[in-house]
Amino acid sequence: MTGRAHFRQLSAAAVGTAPAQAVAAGARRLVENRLKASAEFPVMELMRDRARAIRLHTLAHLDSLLEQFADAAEAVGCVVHFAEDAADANRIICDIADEHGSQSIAKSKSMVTEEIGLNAALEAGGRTVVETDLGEFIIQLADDRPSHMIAPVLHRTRFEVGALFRDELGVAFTDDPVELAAIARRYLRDIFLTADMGISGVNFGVAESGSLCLVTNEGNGRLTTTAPPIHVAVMGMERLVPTFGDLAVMLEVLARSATGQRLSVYTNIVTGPRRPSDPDGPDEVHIVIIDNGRSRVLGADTAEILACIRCGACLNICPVYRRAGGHAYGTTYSGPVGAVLNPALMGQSDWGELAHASTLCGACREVCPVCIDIPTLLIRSRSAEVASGLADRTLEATIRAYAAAAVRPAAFRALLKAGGLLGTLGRAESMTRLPFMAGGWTEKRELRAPARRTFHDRWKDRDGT
Amino acid sequence: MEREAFMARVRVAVQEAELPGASPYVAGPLVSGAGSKALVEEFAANVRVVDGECHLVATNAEVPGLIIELMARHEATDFVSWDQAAIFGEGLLATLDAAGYLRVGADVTGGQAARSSRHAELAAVPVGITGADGGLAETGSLVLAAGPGRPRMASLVTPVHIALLRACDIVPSLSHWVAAHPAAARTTANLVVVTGPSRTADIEQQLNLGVHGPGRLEVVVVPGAPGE
Repeated sequence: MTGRAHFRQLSAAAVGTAPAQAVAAGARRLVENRLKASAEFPVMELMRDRARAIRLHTLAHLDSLLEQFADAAEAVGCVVHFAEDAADANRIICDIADEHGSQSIAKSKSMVTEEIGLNAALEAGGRTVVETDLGEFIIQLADDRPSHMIAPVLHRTRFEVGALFRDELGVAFTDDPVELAAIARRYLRDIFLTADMGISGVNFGVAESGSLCLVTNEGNGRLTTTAPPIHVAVMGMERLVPTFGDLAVMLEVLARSATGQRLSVYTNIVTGPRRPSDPDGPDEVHIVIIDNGRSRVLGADTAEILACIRCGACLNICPVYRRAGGHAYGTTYSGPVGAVLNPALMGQSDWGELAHASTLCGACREVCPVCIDIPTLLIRSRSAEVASGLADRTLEATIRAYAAAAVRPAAFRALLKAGGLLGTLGRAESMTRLPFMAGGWTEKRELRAPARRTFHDRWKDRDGT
Repeated sequence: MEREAFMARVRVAVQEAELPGASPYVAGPLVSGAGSKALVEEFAANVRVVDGECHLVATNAEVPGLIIELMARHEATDFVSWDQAAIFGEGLLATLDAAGYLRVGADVTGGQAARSSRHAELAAVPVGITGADGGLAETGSLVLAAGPGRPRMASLVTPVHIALLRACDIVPSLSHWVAAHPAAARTTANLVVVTGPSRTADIEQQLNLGVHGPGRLEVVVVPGAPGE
C-alpha cells in the first residue's frame, strides 16, 4: 500500500453525506447485534480474557509458533512460503499461478491481500481474478473500496447495486436484495466450478496442526478452498493460535463481536491438501506467510495491535468512524484499529495523521474481544510522531503555552477571562462556531458553551458562605 | 535395532494396512451428558434459530421414509452424498436407489479433466446428504469431517443440505466438542462447523439465505446410542 493519509480532507468531505450516514446506520445495527449476543452469553467476559491471553501469548512466542506452524503444515503436505513485503508476496503468488498455468482465479474475502494489492499484481499478468464474497464482488465490479472490515458495501444502497448489476452483468434492473444475491450466486457459481486456483485469507492458523481456519457466512470461502485444484492461503504472520482448543476460544468471541452471531455459518478448518483417499478438495495447498512491516510493529511499543482478530467491533462503536465512514481512512484498515495499525505498518510520516482520528473516548477498548488498549496505543503513536518531529507545530505550540499558563495562577486566571469572553459570544447551550483558528473544529461539530462563571469564581463564593 | 531401521518397517506396514473406518479419526472421550433429552431439544431449537429445520425421529427405521419425503418436498430426483458407512440410518442409500433416485458422484480424482466434468455434473444437483460428527446445542451447529467416502461438496454445492446426526453426538458447545476431539484438526484435511444455511447481509444488511452454500438446511437427529 502506498500513498498517505488525508483524513482531515476526506472526513470533512464525507461527514453528513448519504454513504457516511448509511455506514453509521449499519454500524449502529452491528453494535446492537453485538450487545444482544454478549448479553445472552454469560461467560463473554471470561472468554474475552482467555482470548486476550491466547493472542498475547502467541505474539510473545511468535517465532517458535511460526516454526511449529510451518513444520506442521509441511508435514501434512502444504507448501509454505515466507514473504518479507508486499512485492515479495505478490511475486510468490504470481509464480505459483504461472507454474500451474492458472488464469482463472476465484478469491474469497481477505484484508491482507488488499493490503498487498494482490489483485492488481495478478491482473497485470493477464490473469482473471474474481472476488466471490457478495460485498467484495460488488466492490470489485464498481471499482470501489470497502468501507467496513466485515461489511464492505455498508455505504451502498440496493438501488446502486441494482444499477451496477444491470450495467456490468447485463441483467434486468432490480433493487430486491434477494434477487440481487441470486444474480450474484448464478454468476459466481461458474467462476467457482471452473477456476483453476482459489485464493483465500486466513482467520487463524493453528500452530500445533498447521491448520488454517477460515470463517465465512456465504460459503464462498469453502467453495474457494474446495473446488479449484490449487488453494493459496495468504496469512499475516501474526494470525496464529497455539492449539485447536485455543482456536475454539477465539471462535467463541469472533462472531459474537463481529455480527452478533453465536458462530458464523461456516467455520472451515483446512489441514493440508486432500488426502489420497479423500474424494474431493484441492490437490495443492500453498500458505504464504506475510511480514510486510509486522516484525517492526512486534518489536515496538504498539505491538499489542497485532492481537487484533479483525471483527470490526471497534469500527462500529467509534464515534469518529461513524461520522466519517471507512473511506476517509484512505486504506485497507479503517476505524480505531486502522488508526493504530496504518502508521505502525506503513510509517508515521505518511500515515501518522490517522492516530488523531480518535477522541480517545475508550469505547473501542470496551468492545474489543481481545481487550486491546487502543487509546493507549493511539497516544503512543502520537508520542512517536512528536518525538520524530512530525507533529503539527501550531498544535504543539498551543499546548506548550497552555501548559505554561496552567502552572502559573495569574496567567491561568487571565486565560480563563479570555475564555469567559468566548462564552459571551452566544447565549446558546452549545456553540456552533468558534472564532479564528479554532473555526475549523466547529465546522462539523458542536461545542458546549463555557459556563458563564468560572469554577474559580464559584469556589471563591463558596469560601465566602 | 537402530531407530531408523525400526521405523522403516513400521512405515511400510502402515502403508499396506487395510483398516476401513480408520480415517477420518474424530473419536475422543465421551462428553458427559452428550445426547441428553435437554441437549437434543436445545440443539433443535437453535438449529431453528439460525433458520435451519430440525427433525427428530424415534427410530432409525423412520429415516428412509423421512428422507424420501424431504426429497419430494424439494422436488429432487438426484442427489450427491457421503457413502452409506458415514451416514447413520442403515439402508438409506439402497432405499433411495430402489425408489429411483440417482446418486451423483463427487470424486474428482483423475486430474483437471475429471474435476471439471464432476463440477459440471454437480452444478445442477438439488440435494446433498451427509452424516455429521457432532452437534453443538448452544449454536445449533453441525461438525462435519471430510475423509474417504465423505465429499466436501455434499454439504456445499447443492441448494439443499440434509444432514443425519446421532443424538449421542450432540454436546453443549464448540468448546466441548473440541475438548473431546483434540486430534480432529490433525486427522482430517477438512473439518467444517456448519451453523445454519448460507447467509449474507451485505446489501443494506437485509438477511438473505443461500447466497453460495445451501440455502436450506435440514437436520435429521437419529436416536443412535453411544458405542453403536
